[in-house]
Amino acid sequence: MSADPTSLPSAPLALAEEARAGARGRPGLLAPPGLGLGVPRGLLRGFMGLVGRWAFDPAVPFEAQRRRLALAGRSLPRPRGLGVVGEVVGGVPTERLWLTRRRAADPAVTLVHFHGGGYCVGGPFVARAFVGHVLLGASRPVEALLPAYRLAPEAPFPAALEDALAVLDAVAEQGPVVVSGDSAGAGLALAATLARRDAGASLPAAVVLHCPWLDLGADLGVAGGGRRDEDPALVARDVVLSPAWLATCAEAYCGGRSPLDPAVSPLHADLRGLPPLLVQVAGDDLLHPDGRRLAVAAEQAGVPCQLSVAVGLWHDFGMQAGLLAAGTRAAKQAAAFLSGALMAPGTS
Amino acid sequence: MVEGLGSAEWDVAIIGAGFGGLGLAARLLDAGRERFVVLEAGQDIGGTWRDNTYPGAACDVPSHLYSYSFFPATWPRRFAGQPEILAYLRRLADAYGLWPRIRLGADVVRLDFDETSCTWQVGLASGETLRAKVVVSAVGQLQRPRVPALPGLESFSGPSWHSARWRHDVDLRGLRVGVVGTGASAIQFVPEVAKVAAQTVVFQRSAPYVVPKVDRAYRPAELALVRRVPVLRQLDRARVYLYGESLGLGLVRSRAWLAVLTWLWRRWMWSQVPDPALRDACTPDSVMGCKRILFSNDWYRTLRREDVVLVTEAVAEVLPGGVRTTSGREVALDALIFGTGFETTDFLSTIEVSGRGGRRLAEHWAAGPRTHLGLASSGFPNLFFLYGPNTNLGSNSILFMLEGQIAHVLGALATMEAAGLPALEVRPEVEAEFMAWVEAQSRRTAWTSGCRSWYTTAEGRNTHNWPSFTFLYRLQADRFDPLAYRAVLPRVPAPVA
Repeated sequence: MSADPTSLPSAPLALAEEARAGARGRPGLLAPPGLGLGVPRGLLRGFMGLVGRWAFDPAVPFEAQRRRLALAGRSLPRPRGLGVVGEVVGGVPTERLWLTRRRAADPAVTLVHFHGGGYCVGGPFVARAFVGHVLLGASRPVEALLPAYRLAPEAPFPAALEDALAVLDAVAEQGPVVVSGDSAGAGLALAATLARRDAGASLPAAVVLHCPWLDLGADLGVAGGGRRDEDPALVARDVVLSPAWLATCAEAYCGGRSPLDPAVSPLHADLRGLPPLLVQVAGDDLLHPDGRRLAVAAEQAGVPCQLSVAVGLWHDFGMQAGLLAAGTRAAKQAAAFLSGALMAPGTS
Repeated sequence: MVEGLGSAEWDVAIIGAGFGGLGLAARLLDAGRERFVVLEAGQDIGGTWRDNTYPGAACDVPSHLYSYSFFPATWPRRFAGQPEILAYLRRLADAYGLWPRIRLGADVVRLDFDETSCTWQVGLASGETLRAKVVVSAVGQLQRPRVPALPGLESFSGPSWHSARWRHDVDLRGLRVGVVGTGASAIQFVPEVAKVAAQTVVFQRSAPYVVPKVDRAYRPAELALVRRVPVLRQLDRARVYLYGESLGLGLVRSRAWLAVLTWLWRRWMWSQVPDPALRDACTPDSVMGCKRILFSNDWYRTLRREDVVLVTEAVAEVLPGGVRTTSGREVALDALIFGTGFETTDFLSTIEVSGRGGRRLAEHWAAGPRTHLGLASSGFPNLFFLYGPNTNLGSNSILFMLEGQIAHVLGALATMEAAGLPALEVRPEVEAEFMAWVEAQSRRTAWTSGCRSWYTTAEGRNTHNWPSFTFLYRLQADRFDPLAYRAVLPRVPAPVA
């Protein structure tokens, strides 16, 4: 049974999900689930286009980009009842997120989420809303750690990977661990999981990759895959990212290392032995080929992998969870996936 | 260009050429998608409206609403009869050129999902196998007639038949006719039968709520006006829709509103039936709406006729010359008609469906059907249901729901094309969440108030009806949400280590 890479979550999961939803039941609600409220998609798309072009502008220094992104990112609404505290985990400054009403519950699962930002900008604030909605949707208590790993160009590869591994080492003994990441953070999450596999260390029960950036070779014009700007229609549809910005970030992060090194571009790694993956890609995202190529490679390597393609949405739309109905649903999907993997035999 | 119907490779295979199948076929053509085939088990199109030809057969939703918004028609009366509705479907098929795309006599018996190619293998009763990327089941909910297994039925000396297989060759004039059942079909044909038969005996298991049907033929001036000012048809459509939703409010939500409706019904029934004994026999023992509410102006009037007898006992046994009821009373009859409805709780049971990983639909649905919005079931990629579980209505037009389901299927096709994916499958947690909502929502509806009806399973689970407002269904079904689905990629054979 376990050999089936596309195997469905088992019936007990479905039933448990149902019982949970039923118990929480809001029988007063006439609207079926899935009819989420949010800012109209077109409006948010326009806004994200403005923010994206302004914050991810390769013509301005990274320092300025970071300030701009922080300004935009802090305006994101966070779910109510979400506790946030800064702490140092494994020597890395980290943000801890938890649901305040669940604090006293039994030992929680730890979710380590790596934020996006091209390895050069951003911080845990980018992913607070997304991770908060994942915690809300999970069927058992989860606490999240969002490491503020070191950024390029000041600290190029392997600084970020070292920080990621330091955090994962520190939490490995504290109970079940799941890992997620968005954009560059998703690449980091996958690279760190691969490094732990190679080292023979314990692996997370599941990995969620939201709009992952996995092949820096495509941005630097190195053979081994497609080029980032090969589809002009896709370049035009992507309102957030530009090939030029991705290229500057990739160059800064690589710091002279080959972008085809699997530790930099985990798409080039041997994936065998990885835990179940959920790959969420957006249709109007320059990076969506990376996630889809990963899903195909995972299938060939016998790694259970679920691919979800959000047609008509932009890069990192999940980070607008709470504001955008589709973003909330992406977080909910991630939560259901992680909960299901934690319920599978062999993890506790 | 129309492909030869002999082709074995299709983008979309539609099972059933009734309202759903023909509507989807028309919308596929509108969307420029031509590589589809409609597989119809019977020898003609029309589905329900082909099978139910009994006298008086008509729709109980006004035709301005019981017709596709994308194919408006001029109707001779408010509630069109079966011949006019079947003619409408034929006009639809003519106008869109659907005939060359329909395979009659193609009875689908098997569906197997092939994981290496991400296509469905569609097995026909003839042994032939077709391939389709997407399969849409439009087989409906009311297709297989249900005749109770009464002892001695085969010994009956006269003709006997089910209302959906009407014997037009039998002349009922001067005969003593027995009718078993007082459901939606019986309510329509009994008044017609009573007009010609010498005596009509109606065997009623439980009394239905029958409410007046404000039906009449349109005057020529009205028809001319609507032709001149088509927006009037839209306005009437909206009016009927709102009327249906207000009735729906009583069924799914407001017991107080339902009580008002029940009081109005009682007042009307009493005005129709002066005899206290008959009033008692016509008073249902369940909450209004728990079973299907029926529309007829002449039902109660027919029961008052001298030559019509209402028997409130069940038939225990069929004798060669009549029937014997549970109390031992014998009734002599020359013909016996079953208005006993259809096999309804086993959705899609005539087709053996095997999905991803060999998962069988019958097993997945063992405890009742499990779907997302009645449209798709997890484990069965690229298989969609029109008029599927939990999309029936107690108070509005099914075609309103069908249009949302058709839009959903078109959205899925467009999504797969845009994303370059071979198959999509609804996520199990999305399905679980929907089922939990249906369960919770159904608890307050009239359908689960404790009667026995075809809306629910033996355990009282609502498997048929949409437990909310219909526009809320459309809001979700019309717009295909890719996040409710996961991509299914072709399986590669396991690498040799």
